[in-house]
Amino acid sequence: MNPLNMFWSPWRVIHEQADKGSLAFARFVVFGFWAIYLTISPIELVGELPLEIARPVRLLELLPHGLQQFCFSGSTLYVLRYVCLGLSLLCMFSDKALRYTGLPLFFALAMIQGILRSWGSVNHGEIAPLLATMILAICATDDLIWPALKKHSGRAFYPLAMICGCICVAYSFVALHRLLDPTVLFDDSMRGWAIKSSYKDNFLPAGFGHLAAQYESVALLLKVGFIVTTLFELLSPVALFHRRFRYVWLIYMAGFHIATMLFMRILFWENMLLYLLFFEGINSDSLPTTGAIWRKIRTFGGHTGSPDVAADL
Amino acid sequence: MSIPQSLSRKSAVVRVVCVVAVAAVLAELTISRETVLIIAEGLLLAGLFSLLVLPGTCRRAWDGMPGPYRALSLFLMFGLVFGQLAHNKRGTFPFISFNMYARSEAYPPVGVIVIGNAADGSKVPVSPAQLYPNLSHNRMANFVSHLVGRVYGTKIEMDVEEHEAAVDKLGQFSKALVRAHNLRNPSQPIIGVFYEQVTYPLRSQGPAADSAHYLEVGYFDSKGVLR
Repeated sequence: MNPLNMFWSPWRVIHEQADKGSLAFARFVVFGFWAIYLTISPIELVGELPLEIARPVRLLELLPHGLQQFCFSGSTLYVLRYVCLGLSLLCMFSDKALRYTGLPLFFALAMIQGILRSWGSVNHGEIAPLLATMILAICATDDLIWPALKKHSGRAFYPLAMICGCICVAYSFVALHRLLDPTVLFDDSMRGWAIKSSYKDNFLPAGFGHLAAQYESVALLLKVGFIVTTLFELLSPVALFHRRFRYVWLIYMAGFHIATMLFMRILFWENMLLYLLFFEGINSDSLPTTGAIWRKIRTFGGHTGSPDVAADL
Repeated sequence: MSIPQSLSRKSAVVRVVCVVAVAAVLAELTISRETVLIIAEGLLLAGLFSLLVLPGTCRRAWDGMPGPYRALSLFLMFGLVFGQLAHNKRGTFPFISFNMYARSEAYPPVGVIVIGNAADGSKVPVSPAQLYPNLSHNRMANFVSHLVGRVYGTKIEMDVEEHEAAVDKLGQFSKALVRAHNLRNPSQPIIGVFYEQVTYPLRSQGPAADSAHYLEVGYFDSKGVLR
């Protein structure tokens, strides 16, 4: 047997055979992310910072000053946080909720993310989940634009492929941009970033990056890791078509994110969570529906629930 | 069949004129390095998307894609490419450029630390990132570095007015920082903040922080006034 055959598998677009359950699982993951994010992020605290020192993103900059002040105030952000949290929880479980509240929720989340990026650098932390939210919200209302789509067989496939495509293409962009100045891969830049990140003010515990100044072997390890990671980032789109490469890619990228946390104190848990969407065949059959949760709540209150509540959950 | 001499001469002249014209236009445009890089990056992205549509399976998926999904895909592709090439993250958000860790910085890294000044003169560590945890992923640290760099840095050229505006911004931020710190740490109140620039060595015998160079660059009181 040719050993190369081990790595061969037919080229097929990811999620080509996805069904409604797979899409519901994606909904659960994406809005689950927002539910966790909004629970642990006290976004309203930025209302304490003076608006005069903010550098809002263009869309917020276009707002009149009064409206900007209103949007950036702590109380508005507080209300927005909990409204978005409630809607995210609903959208996690209900297709109907996503259909009617998905787009407003996306705009609200984009506003929150824009406001947070008015202080400091505009980074890519929550960009992938934000784009995934946009895709899911638009696709949930697709049959309103085109009624013929209601029974289209690819209704689950296309949104899922688009989300995975955005993630992979973004990774490739990172690598391609780096190739414009490849010296960055071979000089001491990586060593410097690791040292700086180790001592940077951060809410994550101190990492091991500072060891790069002390030990050449650590610096070499980081440099080799940087080159290999750039290669994997460049090849990311292959993961959309080749199942076996996808698993190798997922393992490597997950390891890369963990290493980044340990050496540079940067954790992209958002992207790591979205890696779940790269596994085909996972669907929401085992996830509870809002109806089942509601019936369960009612039975706790002493009401008589339907006999199949347990089965629903 | 032989080409008439007059025609070949004419075509030679046309070629020469074309080359000269193109050179003149390019010279007139004086293409900057940034433009060349954008063109190069654009070509790389075009190559990437061309490779994406090469597999037959991808083309079949595209052919079978209903109109609205196709429109959404094209919109996403346009947004991602536009955001990437524009290199203006604030302008194109939520389509931003993915250009992290792409510029060589092979020199000793410089960081900024914030130290609170208690009423009794003792020094208290202040962490903007922990005071505003939602501005995570180094966003807050970058913000502080940016503000301090504008006031005390040597890289940015600015006139007196711009410098005063930068000092005012850092003052307002310092005021907010003191207030937030005192609110969340009532047992350790502070009356002002020091900013220190730290230059870490790229190579050291012991921990890098031990052989780092610390430079106190400024002190702002609780009213945001530079002292």
